[in-house]
Formats: sequence, C-alpha cells, structure tokens
Amino acid sequence: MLNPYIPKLARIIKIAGQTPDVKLFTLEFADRKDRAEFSFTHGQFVMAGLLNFGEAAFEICSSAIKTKTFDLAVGRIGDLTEKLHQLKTKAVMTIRGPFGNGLAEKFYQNKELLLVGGGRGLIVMRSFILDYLAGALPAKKVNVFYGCLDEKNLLFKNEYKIWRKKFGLDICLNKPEKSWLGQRGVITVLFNDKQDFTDTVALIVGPPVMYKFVIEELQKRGLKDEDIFVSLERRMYCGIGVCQHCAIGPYYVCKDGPVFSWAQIKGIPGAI
Amino acid sequence: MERVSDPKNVELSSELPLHSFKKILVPPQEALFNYENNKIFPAVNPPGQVIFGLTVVDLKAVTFLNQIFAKDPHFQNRLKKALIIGQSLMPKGKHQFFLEKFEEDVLEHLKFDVFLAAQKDKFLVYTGSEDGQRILDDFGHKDYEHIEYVGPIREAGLDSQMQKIRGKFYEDDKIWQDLGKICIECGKCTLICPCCFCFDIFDQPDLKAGAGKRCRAWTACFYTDFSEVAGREIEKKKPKFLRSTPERIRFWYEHKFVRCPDEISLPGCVGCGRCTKVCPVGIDIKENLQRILKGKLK
Repeated sequence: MLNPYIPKLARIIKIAGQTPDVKLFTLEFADRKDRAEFSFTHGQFVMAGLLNFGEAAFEICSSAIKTKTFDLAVGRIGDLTEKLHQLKTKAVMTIRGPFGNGLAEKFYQNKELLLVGGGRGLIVMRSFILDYLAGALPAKKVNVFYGCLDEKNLLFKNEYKIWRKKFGLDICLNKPEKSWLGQRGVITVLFNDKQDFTDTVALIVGPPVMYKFVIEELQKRGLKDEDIFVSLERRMYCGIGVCQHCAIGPYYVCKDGPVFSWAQIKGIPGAI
Repeated sequence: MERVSDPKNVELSSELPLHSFKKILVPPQEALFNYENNKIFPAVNPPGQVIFGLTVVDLKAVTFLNQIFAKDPHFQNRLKKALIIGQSLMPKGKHQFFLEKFEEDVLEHLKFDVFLAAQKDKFLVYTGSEDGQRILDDFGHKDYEHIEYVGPIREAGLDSQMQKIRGKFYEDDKIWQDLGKICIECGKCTLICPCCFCFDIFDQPDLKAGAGKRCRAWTACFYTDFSEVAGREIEKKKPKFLRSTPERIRFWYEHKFVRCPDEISLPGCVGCGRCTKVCPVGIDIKENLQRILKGKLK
C-alpha cells in the first residue's frame, strides 16, 4: 500500500527575490524517477515542507508542460515560510502531490480566459500565463486583472514586458506612491462597461474578501456561475481529504478543489 | 478499556466503556516516518494487540474507521495486527440511539476476528477473518461459524433515517446559533467519539541534529487554530475560516452527517452517546438529531 505521507525530496536550485516578503524558489526532484513522473494541472498545489519544520500547501506557479523543475512562490508569513526564506540553494525540501483539482483545459478551451488575481493570488496565475506564452494553453485569449497593495509588492515584475506582448495585463494598486500612473483602488475598478465577457471563463484567486465583489462584477456582465471559478485557501495537512481541516460543506478544498466553479459552492455557508 | 492481566477477571458486560478502543487503532500521536540527514525512513511498526469485548456499537466504529482509512497504511497495519474480539450484549444507556437488538445478520457488515454471541447459558462463536479462524483452530475450538465480511453497508445503502438527516441538514440554521450559545468549545466530544479522527501533521525534531519524525496527532475542530491560515493578524486574531462557535459546532455535525455519508455511505456516528455523556454543558446529540429531522420551523 502506497504511503501518502512519505514525501519526495527536492533540491532548491534557484532562489529569486520577488518583493520584500516573497521569494521564488525553483525546485528539482532529487530522484530522477520523481523528475520524470512529475506532472500537474494548472491550479493544483503541492504540500511542500522542510524537515523539522513541517509542511504547508503551495500552488505551483511554473509551466505545466516543462516540469523538469517547478517553481513555488513563498510569502514570508508563518513559521515554516520564515525558515524557507533563510534557505540557500541546494537545500532540500519535502514535496507531496500534486493534489486536488486545478482548472482543467476543457473548461476554457476555445474561450477567453480572464485571470483575476488579488495580492498573492497572482502566484498561481503564472502557470497559466507561462503556458499561454508558450502557445500551449488552449484558450482563445488570456486577460489578467491584478490588484496589489503597492508597487514594491508587485509579483513577477520583471516578466511583465514579455507578458504584455501577448496579452492584456491590467493592474490596480490599493495604496500606490504618488508617482504611480496606473489605476488606483480595489480590484473591481478594473471592470468597465466597454469590456466584452460574452465568451469568457474567469478564474479568481485572492484574499477571501475579494471574491464576492469580483463575482458580482462578472455576473453583471453576463458570466454564468458555471464559468466563474475560484481557488480557495484553507489550512491543510493531509492533502487527500482525510484530516478535515480544509472541509467546506460537503467538499474538501484539497481533494475536490482548490479550484471550484462558483455554481458548485455558492450555496455553502462559509465557503468564501 | 483496560489491560487484561488475568483472564479470570474478565466478565462480558453490555456497558459501553467511557473510552473506546480508538486510541489503540488511531493513536493520539504516531510517527508517519522518521528522518535523519535528509533521508527518510519508514516508521517502526506497532506491536500486535488484542482488543477484547467490543460491543456491536464499537465494532461499527471500527468498521467506519476502516472505510475512512481504507488507503492509510498506518491504520491498516494496526488493524491487521490487532485481534478484535466482539460480543453481542447490547448497551442500554439513556444517551444511546440507533440501537437495535442484536441480530446475527449484522455480523457480515462488521470488521472483527472473533465474535461471541451470548445465549442463555453459552456462547455462539463466529469468526470474521482468517486470523480469527486460525486462532480458534490452533486453540482447538472447532465449534464456530465463519462469516464473510461483505462490506460495511447493507444492500439498501445509507440508512433511511440518515438519508433524512442528510436531506434536512441545512434547513434549520438556528440550531447552530442556539448550540453556539452554550458550547464552550472544550473538544471533549471529539476526543471521546470513537468515530472522530481528524488530525494535525507536524515535525518533532530529535535531540540529534538533522533527525526527527513527522507525526500526526489528534486535534479537534473546536480548537481555534483548526482552520487558521497564514496571514496578517486582524484585530490581533489570525485569519481563519471557522470564526465562531456556531460555525464550529455545525462543522462537527456536518462532518458526521453530511461529509461521511456522502463519501462512504455511512454516518460518522454510531449512536454510542459518549459525546452527550462527557459534554460539560449538556449538549445532547440525540436531541439535536431530532431537531435536524424536524427541519425548517414553520
């Protein structure tokens, strides 16, 4: 019987600073067989950890077609991530997964895909974006709405130039410096009446407070609940729908999510 | 549950022990694996144990856990090594419910090795596994009937009363508000429940540098850190998803009467009444299930 709690070991091969408290780790499985077998769907997550410091859930933010290595963007926000931020390359992490349901291609095939990320919600969007840039995402078009606190917290800043060659990236900052020329306010300011969402599927990832307002904006513009997807965050331990920490109503965020359609979870108390 | 030191002291009783078998099959804390210098070693296998005298109520809980942990090598290893000896005397406490009289046809839906069905002046002996058969054969007791385990569920699927509870679960939301006012979130019900199994996973470093074990340990969905996530504190509180007592007590019932039936067609409750017995503020699961069954207040 396969032991689902035994992790694979992966070596950090690159660490890139992103913002004052987010670092991008590029990892490679220590074992060749693990490297060859690894594959995931956009939106899936891994339980990543450090021996002596435990595990936590992290969404994979690199390409789903080039999986020899994979990226995790880690915000310094708790005990484990504090420790991860102190690591240098060649350090060994534990990885289990990928787990759960991401956003499968069939949901946005030949449609426009609108990625709405608030704060660290942009992290998981990067895996969609990289594969769209590589021509490997079956969406007709990709648009990204990104709401962030201020300029110094913008994630993947050095990649925007390449991104913008291929798709629209609309950014609004909540508390920008005076010099900021772009949009200001909360993420809903990025919606206007000129936008056409008739053939669009949306994925929303961000802090819980954001979901309700973004969903309303999308519904107003004719998106059906089946075409609005959200990715939920919860405390997780097992990753396989046993330990109960991530349960919402009849579902487990780790096993049935983290990506859910709004139609699936809108009636569940406390889901967002 | 106590260790048997002398078989002469054993007397079968219909009384349910306050503490169930749970800690033997699902220990309060166990190692998932050991590690040293970035190498991972399997956890040491537990020794075999005999669990003697389980009533049908507790055998139902063993069977339930066997479904929940069907793919969990740690639980399965413990269950395989344990010799489970059940008995037919039915508990008759005032807190218990879902009770039937003992009937032989329940046995094919229960996990056990040996089962003793009390008659007026003797026991009928059944076996439920090869281990059970082997032990009786080795002992020289040939007068037994073997019962093949056919799975936990009767052909009809989820029990009809459970189906009703599942169907009406979200009708009367006021019940959670009412219970939230009296529940003090001590978590005793979760610890005593033979079906409650939720757990945390954490690392326990060894004194030797670079060594330790990754463990899992019981927790309770009433504890404030159960649904906490990383993030900035808001009003000195960490962000969490089960924010109030009504939400937490609903979560507990939801697990037993919504998620478990949906997943494995069994409720996460065997009606033993232990939670009612230990609740310091008198929350009675039997009453609450009746209230859920009544549904929407008209």
